[in-house]
Amino acid sequence: MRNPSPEWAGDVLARTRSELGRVVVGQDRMLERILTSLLANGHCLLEGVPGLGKTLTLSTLARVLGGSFSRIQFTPDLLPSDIVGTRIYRASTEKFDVEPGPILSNFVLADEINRAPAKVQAAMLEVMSERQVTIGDQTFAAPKPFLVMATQNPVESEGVYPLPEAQRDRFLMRVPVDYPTPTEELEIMRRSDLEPDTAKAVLDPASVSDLQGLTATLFVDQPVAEYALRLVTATRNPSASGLDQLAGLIEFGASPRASLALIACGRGLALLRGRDFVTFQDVFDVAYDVLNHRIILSFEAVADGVGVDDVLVELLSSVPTTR
Amino acid sequence: MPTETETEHLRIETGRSWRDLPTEPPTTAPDHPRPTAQTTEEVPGRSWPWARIGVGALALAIGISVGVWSPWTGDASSGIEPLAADELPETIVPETPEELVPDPNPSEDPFRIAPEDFGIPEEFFDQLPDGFRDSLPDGFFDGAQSPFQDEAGLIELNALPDGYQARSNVYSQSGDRASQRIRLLGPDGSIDVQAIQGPDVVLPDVGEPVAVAGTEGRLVSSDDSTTVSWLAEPGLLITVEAPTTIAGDVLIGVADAVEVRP
Repeated sequence: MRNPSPEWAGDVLARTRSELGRVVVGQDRMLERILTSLLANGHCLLEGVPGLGKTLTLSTLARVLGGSFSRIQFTPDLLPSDIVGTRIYRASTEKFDVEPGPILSNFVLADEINRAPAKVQAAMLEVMSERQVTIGDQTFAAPKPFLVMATQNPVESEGVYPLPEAQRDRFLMRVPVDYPTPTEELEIMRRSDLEPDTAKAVLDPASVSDLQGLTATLFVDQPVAEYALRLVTATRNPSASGLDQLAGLIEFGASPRASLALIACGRGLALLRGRDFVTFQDVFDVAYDVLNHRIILSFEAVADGVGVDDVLVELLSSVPTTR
Repeated sequence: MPTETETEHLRIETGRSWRDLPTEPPTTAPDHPRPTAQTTEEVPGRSWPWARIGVGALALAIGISVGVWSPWTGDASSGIEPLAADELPETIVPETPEELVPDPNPSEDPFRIAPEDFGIPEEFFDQLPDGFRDSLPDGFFDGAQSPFQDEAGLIELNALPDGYQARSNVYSQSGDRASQRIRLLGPDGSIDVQAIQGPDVVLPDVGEPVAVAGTEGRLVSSDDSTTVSWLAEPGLLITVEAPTTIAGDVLIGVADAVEVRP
């Protein structure tokens, strides 16, 4: 019988970070957010230009975490049955058999998710939300843990199908991926001349489930929860929160799912940082990644060149931790 | 051209990104003016509607007299339920778990598990030879054992070298394949014991033949590490790897201590 403790979690998470660092150079913020999403048992959307190591990071993470791993390269001609599975006729038995698709894995890497049409995205996001697949008259539960990590290229406009706002909301976090620093890029160039290092498995699916269970029990003090709630409600009615400078800029604010996500991610980050309680700083640090894909700007904001980042920088700089 | 009725939103700085986020949240309320309560100042040009009040009072009196309305005598707060939005949902902030409530009178003594907590009376240890308790592994009674004592796995170690502790035990299984890695930490470094099970697992034909765990295995030495491997049973390969800073007899001792779980 396992009895996971914060000390044990801190040990295995430190080793996980260490193994990831053997393959991925830098990108500390991205790695921290991905592990936070994993601990919070939510799906993660990485967004950045090509060549920043998103796919390498996620495939390495899957190796370190153990369990089954699937990578789905999204293309315009992909069909929903290519992901969730289909029924095929077996001539030998004269019966239809169900062939489950690659989505039924512990860790699914959905590469360039915005290259597939909406029906494929919808099929996949349904699995993400309900954690089960129905093929014909049979229902298959997704394995535990079940984590979808998707990548998205924001710069191209031809041949891509941007995720609708309602579907983006299914992702716990949308994490921007930045360029490496010059020092990190020099290290990447140096490593490219050597035989690539490989990461070892540190965890197994049962241990990941233990970590997720432990994360859900971390203590959240009432003022911290109220701070998270104030961040979310400020996106709905900025003026009532004293943010008159944002009045008229936000068409639709974040939903209650965002409040839950802030707390869940705050817990994940707290455990990653070796604590068994959540602080204001934990909630603040995940707030951008939790909120940036859940806010829809008004026409006036778009016309004035105001972006979601402008709004969130203003909001996170203004909403105080204490009332 | 904005009209007078159009809402004029306040401009904010544009062109910023997540890199411009502050590193810490503000602790005090912003300087921006907070919205005030709805104004009650009199609107110029509109007189007090005495006529409407008179008509309303007359209608009320007639209504009471014919029995349509009766004077209300209830409690002002009866029947009013608090809105769900007035309180945070319980799922966000559960009650403080009992183990997280701080002890009002914390002890200065370090946390230890006494031998009697294992069901062994102290007198039992008094009858043992001198030095027996010192020969037990470090942390035997202070809860420093691995948290994976009872988990599933392919192998287990029935003894550990002096000064060594099991620090991690990772087991994974998928289909007919399974693997397990136990890491021991000791004064001279760490020893990795790995078990790999699968239908196509064989003993690699490298290194020198060596007798280990009652069978023939392989010993591979390099400048950094020494590895001994053998097939504990068909399809189950065991490898024990240690840096060269660890003596060879310690490595063989760990190998001999490996037991295959039923």
